Amino acid sequence: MAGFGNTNPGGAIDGNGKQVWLQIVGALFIIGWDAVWTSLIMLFIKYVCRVPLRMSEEDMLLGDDAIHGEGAYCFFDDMAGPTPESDSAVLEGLKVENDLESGVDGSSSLARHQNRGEDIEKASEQTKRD
Amino acid sequence: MTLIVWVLVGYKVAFGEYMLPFAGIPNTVLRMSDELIQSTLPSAGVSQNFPQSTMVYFQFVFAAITLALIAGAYLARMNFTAWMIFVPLWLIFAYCPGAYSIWGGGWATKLGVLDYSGGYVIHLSSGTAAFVGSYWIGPRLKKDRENFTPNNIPLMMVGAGILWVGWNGFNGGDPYSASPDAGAAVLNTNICTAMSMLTWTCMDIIFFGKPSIIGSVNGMITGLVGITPAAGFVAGWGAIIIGFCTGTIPWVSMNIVATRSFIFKRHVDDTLGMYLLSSQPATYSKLTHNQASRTHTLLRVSSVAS
Repeated sequence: MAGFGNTNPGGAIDGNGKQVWLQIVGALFIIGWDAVWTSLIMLFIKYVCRVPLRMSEEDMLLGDDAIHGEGAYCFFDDMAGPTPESDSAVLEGLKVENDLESGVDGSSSLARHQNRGEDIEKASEQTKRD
Repeated sequence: MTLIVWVLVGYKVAFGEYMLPFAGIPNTVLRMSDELIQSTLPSAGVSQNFPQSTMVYFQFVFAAITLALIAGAYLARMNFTAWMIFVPLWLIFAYCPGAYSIWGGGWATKLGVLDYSGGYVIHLSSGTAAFVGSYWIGPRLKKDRENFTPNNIPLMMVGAGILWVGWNGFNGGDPYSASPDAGAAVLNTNICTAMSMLTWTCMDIIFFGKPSIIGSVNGMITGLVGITPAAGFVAGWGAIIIGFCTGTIPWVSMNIVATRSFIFKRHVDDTLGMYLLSSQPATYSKLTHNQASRTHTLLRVSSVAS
């Protein structure tokens, strides 16, 4: 009984080399079984249930938290975060950005991050001066 | 959802009476008598000194963690509806047969395959599902894949602390009794984790020139995962060897193989696996599923050898 009883037959160092092979058999079984069933289930969802496996590109651009209307990471200058209802402009911006595959240059989200960094620096300078 | 499916069919498929070499007879465990009766694993022929409700819940947590690990890999791109369909199906058809085969008294139990606390049933199976499923779902957006800084390091540390404490509970609980084996398992778990964390930090210092808190948490998690299949079986020095391996092998596969391999870049994107701490705060999912589970296989072999 796997750990659930207290028998321990010992391993190769204790002269029980067979145990190593048993472990390999067990591992291959789990890998094979789960690879097959995971694939079958995914294909079942996709082709039998006709449910897409992926979110739409638009939703992914908004983020998997924002599409539920709940931004998980909100900051003081970004309390609400973009949501499908409130911020179609941001969405448009993100779309263009992704089309260009820029990801870095002119990214509105990155720009926001940089601005935030500057704000924090300014704030900390302010604090020091005070 | 895992719990509901678990009490409706899952528990009995995984730990019930013999139906097939890899599955028990499906049934519910919802009657009062089911909950109060003494816990037994009929196929394995053992019983425990606590009620079955305790066993149902204890084993449920393992099942839930397995699904949570898989969720970590599909994050940020999988359709929520598809996930809601995936969970019960995967639990019944993939997890439960694995658990029955290795723990519940199925063919692998009879052969003598050992898995102390879920190295195979949980981590190897979730690692496989994470890898294969990520292939079917496809990668995340390029933008998300390039920017993977952790959102909140203090929160990550809180999660890591909870994780470590929780791990004592399940490795210590797996002998199903307050036995010497349970005590050894808890100590080994901590020895291995400490060694792994130390090794990972040293690897960071040697190759990147500075230690990193994120790195040490990675090392901690790989150590916890690494000792899991062996915690109650190895001696203390075995735990140190495993800890050394979990501090080095996943380090190499994460920092070198994963960043260079074409497969991982283009085809299989395991959100938290490849990215570890990606943008998520804390809790559980920062584990390098794939690497960890692959390492698992090695570790299992090495731990049995020791």
